[in-house]
Amino acid sequence: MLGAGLAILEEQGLGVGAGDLTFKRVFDRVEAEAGVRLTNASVIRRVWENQAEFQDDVLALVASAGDSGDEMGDTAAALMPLLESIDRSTPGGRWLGLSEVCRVGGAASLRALADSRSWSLWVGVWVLAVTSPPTERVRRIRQALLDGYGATTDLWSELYSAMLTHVGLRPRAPLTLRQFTVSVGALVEGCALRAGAERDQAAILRPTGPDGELQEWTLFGIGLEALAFQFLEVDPDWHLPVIGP
Amino acid sequence: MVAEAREVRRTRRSRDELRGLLVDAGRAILEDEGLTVGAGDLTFKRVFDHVEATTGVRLTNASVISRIWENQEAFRADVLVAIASTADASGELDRSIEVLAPLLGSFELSSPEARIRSLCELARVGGEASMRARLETRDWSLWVGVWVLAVTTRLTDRRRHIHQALTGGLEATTDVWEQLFAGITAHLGIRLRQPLTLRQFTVVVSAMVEGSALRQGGDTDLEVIARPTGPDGELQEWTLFGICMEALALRFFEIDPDWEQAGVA
Repeated sequence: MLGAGLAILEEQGLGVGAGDLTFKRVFDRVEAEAGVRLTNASVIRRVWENQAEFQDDVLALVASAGDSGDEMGDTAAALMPLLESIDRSTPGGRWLGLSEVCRVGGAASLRALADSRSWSLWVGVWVLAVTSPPTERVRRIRQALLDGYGATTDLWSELYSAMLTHVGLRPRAPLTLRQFTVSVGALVEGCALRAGAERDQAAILRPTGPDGELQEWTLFGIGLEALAFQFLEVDPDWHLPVIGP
Repeated sequence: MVAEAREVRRTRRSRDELRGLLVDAGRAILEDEGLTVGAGDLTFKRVFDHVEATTGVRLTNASVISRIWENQEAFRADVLVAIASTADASGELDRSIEVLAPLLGSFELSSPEARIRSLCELARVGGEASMRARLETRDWSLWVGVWVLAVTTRLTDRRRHIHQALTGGLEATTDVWEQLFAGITAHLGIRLRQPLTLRQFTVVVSAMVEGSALRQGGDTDLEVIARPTGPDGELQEWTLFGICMEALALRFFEIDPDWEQAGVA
């Protein structure tokens, strides 16, 4: 019986959706938060044909918002002061700086993603798009997922590009910045999936601080460092910018 | 009534404004409460039909209700727990072993450089096999669905039960992969860089494959990258996942200086 149940779900997917999201509940929320009173007459046949169409619009919005949740803002906030303090005068200093970026930025990034409700919601929409029979509605949500994913990958690529310019590193040919971005995104999402199932993951102590001092690393930070060393190399044409006259 | 109607009229907004207002509120509600995830369409009737069609066994409600499950809902919960506890039902491990076993036997391990080259080749070939196995089955997507249920919905006994099954399934699968990696490292004469552990390597590789599968979004076509990693700089085809596997392996492992090749005096 269980095997048959599994086989049916494998064929037809789990029932994932926004079924509890009724107009009534949304109207109540809008009134409580914005003081605006709405009725079915305000929206049905004016904005949406019916409630199901509204629910699809919300799911498409979740999908198109991309898969980074609040991760990018939190990561950038953690990295800004660190980037200023990196010793960029030697290749060794630049590599050390990159490791520290992986340690600190990796921890901030993973925490932000694992705690993000919007990311877990995005994963839910992913399940809907990947496991449901390919109806027009599912195709639309799937397209929104792809668009959102492309847009967030662009944004992360820009952030990494600025960071590499700052520390004087470049992608190791034939690898590209886009491939690095996709790989890092995959790793952080895989680690966040794990963090959702196994909340308490102990920090790893490594002698990476000044004079071999022990520093706390997340497993994602170590993986990120591995990817960075694989995909990046010192840019021989880079020069430390000269500030002032 | 009149005052209320005036209020409604006063707040009348354009179609686009209304749409934005309501879609944002809908999203906020979903963020608070999660999506509905479940096996709601999985009725006893459909399962009985499936069992009869595939095995010829005829079942009725009387065969199972109050005998095996109290009701249909208890049966659905059991199916979700079964999905949660089988993190590697895709057969990824078996398929990886099928590909890796003949490869391991063919490696030339006479020098440290050759052993590191073998490790990279394992990442290239094994990485692709592992990724393809993950993408070509649907049960992993179901596992992610159960993850969403366990992580985003209200904490109930049912959710706790599913969460425990998820954790248990991951642990069991990690144990098996860890044993496979232990065998490979012993064969290649490599060891972990201190203070890293084989468990950590296994977990990070699993996370990498899971995140990569998530990013593929159900698309089974893998991007191929040509790299000059073959003999005499010959180009070889790598998947992005294989390149990541190589990166992780080179970060976690180093040559074991005390290793001696089996059968070599």
